Amino acid sequence: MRAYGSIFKIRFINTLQYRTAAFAGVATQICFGLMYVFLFTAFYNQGNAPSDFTQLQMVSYLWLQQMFFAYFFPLDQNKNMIAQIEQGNICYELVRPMKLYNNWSVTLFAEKIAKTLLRFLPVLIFAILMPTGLGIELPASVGALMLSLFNLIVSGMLIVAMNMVCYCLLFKTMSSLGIFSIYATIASLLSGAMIPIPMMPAWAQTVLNFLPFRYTSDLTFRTYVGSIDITTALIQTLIQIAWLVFFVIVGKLLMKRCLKKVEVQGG
Amino acid sequence: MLYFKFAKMHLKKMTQYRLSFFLSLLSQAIVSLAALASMYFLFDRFNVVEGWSFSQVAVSYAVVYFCFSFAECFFRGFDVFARLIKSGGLDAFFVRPRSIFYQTLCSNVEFSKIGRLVVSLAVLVYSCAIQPFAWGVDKIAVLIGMLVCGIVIFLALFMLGASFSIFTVEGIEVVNIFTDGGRDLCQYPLNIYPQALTKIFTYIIPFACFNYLPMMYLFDMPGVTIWGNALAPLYGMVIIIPAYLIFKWSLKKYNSTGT
Repeated sequence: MRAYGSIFKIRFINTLQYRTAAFAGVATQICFGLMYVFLFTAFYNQGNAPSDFTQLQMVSYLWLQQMFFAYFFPLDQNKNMIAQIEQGNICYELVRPMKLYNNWSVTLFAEKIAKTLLRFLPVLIFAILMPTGLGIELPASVGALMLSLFNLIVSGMLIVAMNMVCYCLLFKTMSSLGIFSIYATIASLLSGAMIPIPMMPAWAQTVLNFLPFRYTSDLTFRTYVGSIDITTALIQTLIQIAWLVFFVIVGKLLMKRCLKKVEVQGG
Repeated sequence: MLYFKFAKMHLKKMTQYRLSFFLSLLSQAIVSLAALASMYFLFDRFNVVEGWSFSQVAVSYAVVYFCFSFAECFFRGFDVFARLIKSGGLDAFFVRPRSIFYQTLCSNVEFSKIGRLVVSLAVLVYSCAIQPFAWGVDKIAVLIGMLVCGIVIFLALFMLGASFSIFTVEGIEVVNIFTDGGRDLCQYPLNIYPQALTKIFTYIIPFACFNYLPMMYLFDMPGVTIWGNALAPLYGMVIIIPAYLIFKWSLKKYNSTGT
């Protein structure tokens, strides 16, 4: 356990080094946030807005999206890990006295959190300072805030667990090009990163309830803004946890199978 | 021409890894389809935005995506200019008997963007075909003008980004606000945004010149003029002149990274 703590710390501090990148990220997030707020507000002004997703809720949702952009990014491409699979350096990892699955998940999670910590605060401050209708609102209730914080943490783990499955598939395909970005695009559409899920047609929302993707960012943000009531949110949190358990089990099984087949050639 | 020789070389290089190349093509196509799908979802709920229907905005989407992916495909060298600086590849350009502009152009052709190009072209043809009006010579000319102007504007933006990275060395994400952000923003007609934003994207970065203004002419919106709308693509292309001059000037200031 202490070893994983150290890995977390190393990756965390390592990612914190990239402060210029974070600064550029903040500027990008603020500009994109404003842009989407203007865009979707224009659509809301046409009338026919969804009843369970008011304009103020929609704007808050968009800012939360920008604040946690790095956190909810559907697939973190860790160059080091990809290279290990593609080039075979993975054998060094295998001789270490720790589980590769845990090692890599902790790495991905630490980098996610570090990237987010560097970025979310300036965006939040900007969003708070914006006038009503353009900025972020307070959470629906204290309960909603607490639950959405819990959702936030589980979401991160869920995304990492789903990423681990993708990395396991990489053992088979041996090339991350293409596949990873196909997954990232589809996952962002289905998790509501391109347009918020409450704005989608009813049939699409029904379908998405049965897929894991919306139990990451969409659930967290909707609990926060109060677009779903606490009871529904609690039920969906259980579904979220179930998906997490499912993906961890699948990932671990896949990893076991892949590592059995890894052949280390000398050299 | 030398450019085509280089292009052929890049194509050969990319198709060595056939599955990988095919998947990159597919992923690019899926990116554009996902953007189209989210636009469809929006119009499914709201039907119309500030007087623009889905089929009209689809034309706008297709024009912007076509121009962007064309520029990303064939002018990729400027887009990833920072890599040339970091690797020291740019130093070699100075001693060769061709202009740096031309060598950068030849240095990279990203054929996987063809996936995006094909999707946007298909959407363009389809969305133009379902418009209720007849396409006269004037409208076809304006449409071609829009495409050319859009490509030129994205080239100019990439060149400005490249000039910038000569000073910062590190590639700069901030430029993406204008290229990617402009692309996402301008798929929709600019009159849905606040005045200030519309002005920025008309007079400073002339995105409006290749979609919003000439498109009003295509769809016979009220208050259009030949000078103000149909000929707008011609004004937009002017941005390439300052972009080229800034690129030239920044090359004079270039210090090698020493690698």
